[in-house]
Amino acid sequence: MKFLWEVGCEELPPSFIPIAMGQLKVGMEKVLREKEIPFSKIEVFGTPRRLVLLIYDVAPKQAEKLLEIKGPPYHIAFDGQGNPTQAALGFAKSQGVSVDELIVKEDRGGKYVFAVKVDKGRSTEELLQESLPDLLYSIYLPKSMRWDSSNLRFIRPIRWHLALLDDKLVEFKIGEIISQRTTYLERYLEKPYSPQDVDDYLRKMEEEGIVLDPLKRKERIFSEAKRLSESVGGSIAPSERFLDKVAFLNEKPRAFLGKIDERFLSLPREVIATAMEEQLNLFSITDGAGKLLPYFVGVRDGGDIGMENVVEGYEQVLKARLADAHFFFYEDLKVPLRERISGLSGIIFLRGLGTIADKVRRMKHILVLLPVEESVKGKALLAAELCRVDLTTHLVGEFPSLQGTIGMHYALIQGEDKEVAEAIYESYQYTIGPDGIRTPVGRLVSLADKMDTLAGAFHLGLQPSGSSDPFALRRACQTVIDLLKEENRFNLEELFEATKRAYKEEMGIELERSEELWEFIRNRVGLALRESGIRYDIVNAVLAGDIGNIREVFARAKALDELREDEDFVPTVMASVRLINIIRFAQKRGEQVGGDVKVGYLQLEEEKRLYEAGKEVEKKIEALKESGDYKAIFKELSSLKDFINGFFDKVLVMTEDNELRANRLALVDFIWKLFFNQFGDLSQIVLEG
Amino acid sequence: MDFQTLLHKLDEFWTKQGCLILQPYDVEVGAGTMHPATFFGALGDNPWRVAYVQPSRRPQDGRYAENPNRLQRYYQYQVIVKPAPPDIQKIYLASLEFLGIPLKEHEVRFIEDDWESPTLGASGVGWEVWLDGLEITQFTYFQQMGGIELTTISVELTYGPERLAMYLQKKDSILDIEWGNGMTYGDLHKAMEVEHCKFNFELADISSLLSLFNAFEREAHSLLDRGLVFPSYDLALKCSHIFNILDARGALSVVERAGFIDRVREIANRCAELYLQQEAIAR
Repeated sequence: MKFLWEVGCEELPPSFIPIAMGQLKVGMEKVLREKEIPFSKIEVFGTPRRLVLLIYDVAPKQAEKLLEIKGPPYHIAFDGQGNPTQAALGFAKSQGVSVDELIVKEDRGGKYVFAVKVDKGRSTEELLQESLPDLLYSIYLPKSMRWDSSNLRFIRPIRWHLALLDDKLVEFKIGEIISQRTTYLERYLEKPYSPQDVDDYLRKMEEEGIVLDPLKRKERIFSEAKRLSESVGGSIAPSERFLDKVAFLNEKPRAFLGKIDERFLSLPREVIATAMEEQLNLFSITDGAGKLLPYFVGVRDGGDIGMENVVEGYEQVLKARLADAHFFFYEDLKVPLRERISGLSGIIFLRGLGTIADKVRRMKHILVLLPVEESVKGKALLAAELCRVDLTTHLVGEFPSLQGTIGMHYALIQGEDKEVAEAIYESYQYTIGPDGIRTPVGRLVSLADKMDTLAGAFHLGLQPSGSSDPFALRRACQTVIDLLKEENRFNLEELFEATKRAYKEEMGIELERSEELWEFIRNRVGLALRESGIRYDIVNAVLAGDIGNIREVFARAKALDELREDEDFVPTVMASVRLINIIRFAQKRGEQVGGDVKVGYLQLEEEKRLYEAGKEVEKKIEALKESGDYKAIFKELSSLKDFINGFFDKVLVMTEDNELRANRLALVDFIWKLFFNQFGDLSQIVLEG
Repeated sequence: MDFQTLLHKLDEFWTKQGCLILQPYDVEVGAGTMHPATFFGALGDNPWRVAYVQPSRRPQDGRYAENPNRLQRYYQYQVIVKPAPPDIQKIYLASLEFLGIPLKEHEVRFIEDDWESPTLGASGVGWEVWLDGLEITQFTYFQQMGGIELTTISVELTYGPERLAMYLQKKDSILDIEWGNGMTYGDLHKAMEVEHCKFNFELADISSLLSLFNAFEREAHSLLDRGLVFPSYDLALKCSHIFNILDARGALSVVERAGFIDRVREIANRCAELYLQQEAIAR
């Protein structure tokens, strides 16, 4: 049998449809498995107006099962002569079988009587009636609403649903709506359609041009749009995201070609693309050289009747948007960026941290303090000065998502250095790469901008909480980490110091090196480490140490991760754990641990040897640090393991003698610090077996 | 179809749907939603069907009448139907047909657009409706009003009559719309538009606006303390409009904006609560 369920809705948000499809499929499979109903395949489709679930070759009912129900022990059910007692009669009656049908079986060392029954299984129809409402209600809703007097919540109103098992209507309720043998096709067709059976439904949909399968819609949209773009000698290169969005905005897609007034093509290409793609869901068309052609492809939901109205309508709307942009573009260019700088003092950055002009001054101050080559620094300072100026332009007011892009274009038109212009764009970006932060100047400006925001916001106590992160501090922090990971001229500690001085000297604001900020950065570093594939326990070990140099933190973690299969790895970690265990034990007893080791107090051979070996390793690490070769450093530390084990086997650290005990703890601490300063807390590492 | 005929046709259509045709409210508002007929009408469970034109003021949107699509004062045609009928989408589409737009020959789209009015403590779920790409209506199922989660859901349809008229008359600028009797929209509104932009953006006196805001807010709360809903609500509307002018004047930082919005919402929420209490007593 074939089962069909169509849930008809008022226009569903495009981002929701694929989520709902996925959950319906998984949920339906789970239900059928749990209820033991055989089937061959489940398909779930979605359009803006309907979610459609299909089950192929579904059995009419659950499989039959033999059930053996345990009754009383044999010696109670039957008397000495083998005649049934009242107990047997009663049990047989309660199970609806005759006494003759009872069987006797061994169970847990005793003989018992059993009633054998056939569970015929419940019908698929009944089980679907029961489970489908819950299946729908269990879909995760990013935002939900009510629309009638039932308390049903969904993402948009549900207006009908149709459920057919082959040709039979399966009746049940969703909220107040009873399933029916009726579907609605195109919105303007007055008459609904009542399919004979599931196949008739699918046939009718196809006949009407309603493409249920989003993948097929996507293919159709792409190939039609491609064909149209080629008809004017161009091509399209839509992102997957954009194609998906268009596919989920239409159920009967029909592409059309429209014209753009050529005089608007002098606008920056991103402005035109934003007006088209983000605002109107239109495809832009480019020629072989990547230049925009004066055409676009739109997708209409519906047939071909009156297509000329649709084309003209979209052309008009696009024209109005681009006319606005065009007007603003030339208005903006009347005042060069450099003359707009003073306008930044009228825009508040964050209350308590001054205006955007103040922020720009701080960014420049930070850049001045950073130890970088003068040639790069000069450009970075100019880029910082200009990087927020586009906020004063009309075009950014119109297209806020193009902050930075518009600044870059204006800078280029006004003859600013290319690297400076690009850095204006990059200062607004968060990711590193060809479309994001990519130039040496851009890296510096972006770092100064993000660190200034991060430190300033924490100073005001505006740290993100839960899902609320209005100032995008998580992203800012991530970018700082990504940039510092590849930075060898200065580290996090130095960048923060520069930021602190900038706040102090420009604003008189005393930033604290607050635990909250450091903990926040530490968490983000941990996330970045785990995302780079490093195991969580190694991440924890490394994060327990100092994170003032992000590049080193990554190098340490990577070295440990690569060494974990090494034969020396486990014994070395175990030896270091012995050190920290005794330190923690002593600290719990109120001992002071630390201070210099007094060579004169080293009595036993094993103490002396450990100390000397430690001193030796300390020197070697110092020499190796320059190279950043953390594997070699770990090898050096590994060489201490036998000395550590020898020490613990022979020397009683927690001796009665106060001076001796203090000195031995100082020795243990000295050795532990050798590990800790390089790799953090190795006792965080989970050793298997 | 000229502008006044368009408005009459909408009145005619919605009259047939059982709506009372009301008149605009006489306090400056940013949207038709702020008319008491919508704010209070959406509260409670009594059936309610109204339609009306509401002049709406958005000081920020002014462009000195130089932009063909944007004004600081324009009209909204507002329909409220409570409870929302199950076939409301169809009824709405029929209203477009009634205006002489054969939908088979056009594309109507419902583009996800959830609506929120922080100053009214109101929110809803819905769409903007596009006619061949042009946004002509906001279609919303109210979920909350005056901070109160609604039990009976109203649907709100807000038509942009200027947009519709431009579409029907094939005009590129709002100012060129034919209003009626040979007069254009621009003839009637242009001078007013330019002067109001000058006021909103350049001349409005910030300190007197601030003190008016404070005075109206104080009075609203004291009237609420004495059980007066409607005068308090008027004062909330006045505060809201003053806030919009201050915003257009660039007198508010992001944080301050949030503070002012909270203060207006506080009044609106109190009005809604008191209204429902009094309604319950009256029953």
